[in-house]
Amino acid sequence: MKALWNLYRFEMRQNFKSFLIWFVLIAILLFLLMLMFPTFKSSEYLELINAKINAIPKGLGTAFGLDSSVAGVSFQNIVFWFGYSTQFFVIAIIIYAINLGSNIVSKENEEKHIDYLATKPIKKSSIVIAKYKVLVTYILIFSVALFAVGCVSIVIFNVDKTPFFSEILRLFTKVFFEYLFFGTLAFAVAAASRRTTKSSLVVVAIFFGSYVLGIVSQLQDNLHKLQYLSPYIMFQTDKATSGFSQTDYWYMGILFTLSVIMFVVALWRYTTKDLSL
Amino acid sequence: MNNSKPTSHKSATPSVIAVRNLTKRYGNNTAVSNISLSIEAGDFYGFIGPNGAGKTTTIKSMLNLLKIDEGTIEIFGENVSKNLFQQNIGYVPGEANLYDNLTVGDQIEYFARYYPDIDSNYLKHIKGLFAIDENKRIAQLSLGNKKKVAIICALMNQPKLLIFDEVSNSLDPLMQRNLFEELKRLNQAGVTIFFSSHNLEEVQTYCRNVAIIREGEIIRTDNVEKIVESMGVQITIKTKQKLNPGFFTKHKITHHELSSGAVTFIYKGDIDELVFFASKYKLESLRITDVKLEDIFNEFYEKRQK
Repeated sequence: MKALWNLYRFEMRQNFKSFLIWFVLIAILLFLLMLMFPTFKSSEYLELINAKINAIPKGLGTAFGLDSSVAGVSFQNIVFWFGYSTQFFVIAIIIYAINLGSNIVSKENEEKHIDYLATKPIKKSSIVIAKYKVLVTYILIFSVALFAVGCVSIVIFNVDKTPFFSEILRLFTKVFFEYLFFGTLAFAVAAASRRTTKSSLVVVAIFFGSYVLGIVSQLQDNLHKLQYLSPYIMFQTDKATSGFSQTDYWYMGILFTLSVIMFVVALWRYTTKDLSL
Repeated sequence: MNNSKPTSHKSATPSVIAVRNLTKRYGNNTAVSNISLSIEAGDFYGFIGPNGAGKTTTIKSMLNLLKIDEGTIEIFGENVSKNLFQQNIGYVPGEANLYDNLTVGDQIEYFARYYPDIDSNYLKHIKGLFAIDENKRIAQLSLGNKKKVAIICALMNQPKLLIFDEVSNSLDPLMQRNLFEELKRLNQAGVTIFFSSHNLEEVQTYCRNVAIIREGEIIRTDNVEKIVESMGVQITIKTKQKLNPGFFTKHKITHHELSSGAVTFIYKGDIDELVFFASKYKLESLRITDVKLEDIFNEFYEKRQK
């Protein structure tokens, strides 16, 4: 237990710098986008902008977070504006989670630190558990801290006093499962593969593949079911601020279950493969 | 420097490392094939072989860093797959790949935290022995200095078994001496030492037993002194009259070298008899030296290549 804690603390420290860079960049950009909200709200061209949004075909609008049929889709609504702005950062955080999930396993092997670590009194399973805990911790910290930044920025620019807290909380809850899913997938691929160098690239490709499938599912009615293969489209941020539907609960449950299964696979594979080549 | 070999504190001791019929493959390539080794408690054991012979694969298999395809490996009587041995071992890999962003002090402290009972006096002693600036970052260190940090990290928990893979590579002669003096002291205190090396003089000086590996197979394991004795002695002889071929056939000398008028060969027979016959050619000089492990090593490989 002491060894696991020691490794956990060490990995937290080793990955802090990259977390800070990603977080600060995203937080600043989010704040800057929120800074633009008052301009939109008071714009004399607002009607024109809304008319343009309404003119976008439904499928395409959904794919890019501008589905005018969804209640509250308006650049005058601060919650919509926040959700719309956040969709870009969700992609960035998913890529961060993929990088972290992959690197935390593969770096140790590529740089051959594993020769030292695995001959210290620590079980291989504890190595996997400690590293996975670091991944989940950073995803959690990222979500909570960005939620706090989001709330502060909304409070500053929310001149109408629009209720936002539960809406934003729902959004962050839903996308957390996306981060967890893709982070764990990268973790499992890195833990399972013999040569780990390209594991993050593989998972980034899987993410963008699922993203494209999600967009295609919105463009044609007969391909609608493809959206279930795209966590990003399922929890697209403009819709994610709305209440939890039955499908949302199921989908979060499925992502969580898949994450657990992938973690177990990673645990099994890591403890049975060649650690050092 | 006292080069006398450390004497074992025990006799008829159980195997600390028991490798039985180990086979390890990488895809279709067999790295080691059907290897068996037994290293007893308190032994100072050398493991020699050319590059790519399978030394590192064998060592990594012993440490459960590689999954073996066939055979069994036990350390302290337990199968290595149970991972119960780490508390009592120290390992220095061939490449000193430590964490570049840490300082030497942080690196040592991080690994020390894995052990519940590090003796701070001993840690201070080995830090002093290898004299290294603890405030420097690992990335700033030379290869030799990184190796020193790796050695400190392997010795810090005062393990019962030390496994080194080409440990003295990149260490300067002074540090090599410090290292082997410390290893000799530890071995005399009962620590078992197993190390692979290219430096055959080092192996001959310090090891009691040795295994020679070639192309993934063990070709000989024995007591170092026995191997050396069984090979005879090296004789360099200079005579006024030229030695005729009959001299060599009579004494079963199959291979000899000529240099500056002197003939050098390995001889296993009766020295008195050889000197008696050589004197007929009017001896100018005669030098008898022990055969070096290096000569034996070369002979094994030359024989195999033929």
